[in-house]
Amino acid sequence: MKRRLFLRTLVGTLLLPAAGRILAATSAELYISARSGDLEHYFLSAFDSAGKLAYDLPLPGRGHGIALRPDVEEAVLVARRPGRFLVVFDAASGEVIHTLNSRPDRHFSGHGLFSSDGRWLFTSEIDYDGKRGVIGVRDVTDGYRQIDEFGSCGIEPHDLQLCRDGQVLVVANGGILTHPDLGRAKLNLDTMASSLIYLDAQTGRVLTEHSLPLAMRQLSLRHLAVPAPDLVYVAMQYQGAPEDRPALVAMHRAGENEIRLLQAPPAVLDQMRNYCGSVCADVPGRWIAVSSPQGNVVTFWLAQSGEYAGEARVTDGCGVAAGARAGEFLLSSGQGGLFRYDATDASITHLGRTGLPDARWDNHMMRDAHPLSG
Amino acid sequence: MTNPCKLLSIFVALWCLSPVAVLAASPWPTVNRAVVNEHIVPRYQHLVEVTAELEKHSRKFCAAPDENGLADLRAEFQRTMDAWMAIQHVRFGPVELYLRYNRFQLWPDKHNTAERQLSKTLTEQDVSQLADDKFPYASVALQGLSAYERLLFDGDANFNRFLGMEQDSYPCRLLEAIAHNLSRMSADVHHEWIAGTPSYLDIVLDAGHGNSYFQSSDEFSARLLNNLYTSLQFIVDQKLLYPLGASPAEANPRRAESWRSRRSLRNIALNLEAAESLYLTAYSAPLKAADKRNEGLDREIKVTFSRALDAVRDIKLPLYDALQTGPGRQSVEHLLAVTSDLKSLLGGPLPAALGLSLGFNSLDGD
Repeated sequence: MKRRLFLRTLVGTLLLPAAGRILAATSAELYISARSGDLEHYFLSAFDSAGKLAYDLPLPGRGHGIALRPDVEEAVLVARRPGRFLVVFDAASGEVIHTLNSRPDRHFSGHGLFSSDGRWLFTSEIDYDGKRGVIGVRDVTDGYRQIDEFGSCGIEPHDLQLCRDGQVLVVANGGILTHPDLGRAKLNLDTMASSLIYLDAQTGRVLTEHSLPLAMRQLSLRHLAVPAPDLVYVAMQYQGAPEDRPALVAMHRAGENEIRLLQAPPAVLDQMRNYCGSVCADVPGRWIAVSSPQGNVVTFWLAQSGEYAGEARVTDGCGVAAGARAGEFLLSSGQGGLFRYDATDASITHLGRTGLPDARWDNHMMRDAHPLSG
Repeated sequence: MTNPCKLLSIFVALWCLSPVAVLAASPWPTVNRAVVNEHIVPRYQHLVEVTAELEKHSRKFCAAPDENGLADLRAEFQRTMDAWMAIQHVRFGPVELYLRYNRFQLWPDKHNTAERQLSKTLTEQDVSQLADDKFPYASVALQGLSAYERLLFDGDANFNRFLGMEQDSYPCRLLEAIAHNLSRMSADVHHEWIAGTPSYLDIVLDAGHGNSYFQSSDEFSARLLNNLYTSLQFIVDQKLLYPLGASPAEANPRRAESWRSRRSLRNIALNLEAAESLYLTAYSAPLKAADKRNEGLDREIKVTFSRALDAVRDIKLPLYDALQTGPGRQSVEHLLAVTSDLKSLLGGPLPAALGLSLGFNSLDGD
């Protein structure tokens, strides 16, 4: 009760540096995730591989994706769509370095990513007046000042990743039109067009553009994982009739035109409820995890072949992150659970609740492998 | 060697036991049927009736606009708002299809979209946009109760946009189009709950087997519980805190819901009555049945509902005026405190005691 009151006084005002720092990280790796407490107050939290809390910061609103700056202990949390704030923080200690806002005529779409040299931050953004998506470019060395903007060639860019050894930016245009006046209501489901766009990470020049066949246009390509430089995994959400059973996971290989749809066994596909929330690869890029929180299931896939490789039951499970070893993943639940899954023997271990009794883990979780090196 | 008779008797025993065990463990299939039949469908049925009247009276008024007709139409509008407030808390099912929830009422409208859209359409006067097959695709801000209120009320009691207007003037045609739209949406939502193929009722009743909408009966109960909590959250954050502001200087009575027709507190009272009815129909009995020790929580929730209803009924001024006086603000702050208590009870102890989750990632992902 006291803690919540204390935190509540911070919410809605400015983030105070180090306010949320609870104890020093002692483990070799940290997992970072946005979370909610009572569904009204939002936080950014980190815990070690045993589930022990490292830090917990109040946020001005609901957070979404996390980007790690290469080689430096710095990370960015992006506001959930349609949001306006970015929080730059020390990924090891949880100290806030900056809080920034989007341009007045832009809203963040939930995800960000650093260039491979750590110099630029890319964020997916929406220009509601122009009804188009853009990728904001900020100069990390100049206090994250926005210096450029690339067109995303589609409505509602969502996740973005680097591929081809950091030279190419791949963007998932979700294709769903919304407007801040209407919260998150979906306005164009009958005409939506989702796509995968490859951009030159230096110039923003569009290299290639890929879409699913027209008959599948109500599949929204939203989240991405890059298990190998030339291989992109896509986790999708279907906006059509609930009775339909489209494939929900796809892979795209550099140089190919077609996005390849991957088939889960029919009984598992039924459980996935036409919705995937998050996707990631394990450390060596051998396995892929895809969460379906509405169906309380996380599915696993062999990255190179696209073969289905099993599932784990996690109630309201959405966050997925690579564990330290091949085939190992951490999974988080909106009900507060944290689990370690080993794809090599399909075993699942409950990690407990990190000392945050009311934590509800939000959509995405990020592994930070070197929290003490910065 | 397995004894087939023994095996058979085990099967028979399991077959006999399991339905009993399931029924004893889960009250939700029975509760869900009662909630749909006794709480949700009758409220949509009532909305169908009043919006049909609103449409009829709109046409009658527009055939010969005069002062009496306007008073009559304002009364019809109040009845329609009453009916909508009694079902505003249900945010899923047929009402979430085709943006209907927002098309019924766009509020809060923080960017003043309704004002912009309304002044644009009143300037352009393009009658073709009001046709049955066009209007549902017009700006959501124009299609529902908020726009209708703006046409009838300006916040000023002597306002009459229609005074001296000829029959079939553009503002009148717009009134008719909105009323027709509301009436049609209400009829469609009601129809889809009870008579679609499958009806939403069928889907809810079938939830125990798992279907494309619900994995289990619990899931429907949990979503409705989330709507119950959200309705209190909406009252606290949007209907009270948003216009109240941190101090009298920061109060903005024009941020109150339905401030033009001065019915903001009536909306809250009707929302609270609806929430209380949902609690009593769906959750009170299962709460007590789950554990005798829950009786205290059940009593606390019921008492807090009564305190909240007393608090809102005790404020005699419209919220618009109450926000601008010291004693008025105090009474609004009291209402805020009680509804916040109620919200906390419904969001924390109640889901935990019922073993239902309000949902997080599964409810509204990205």
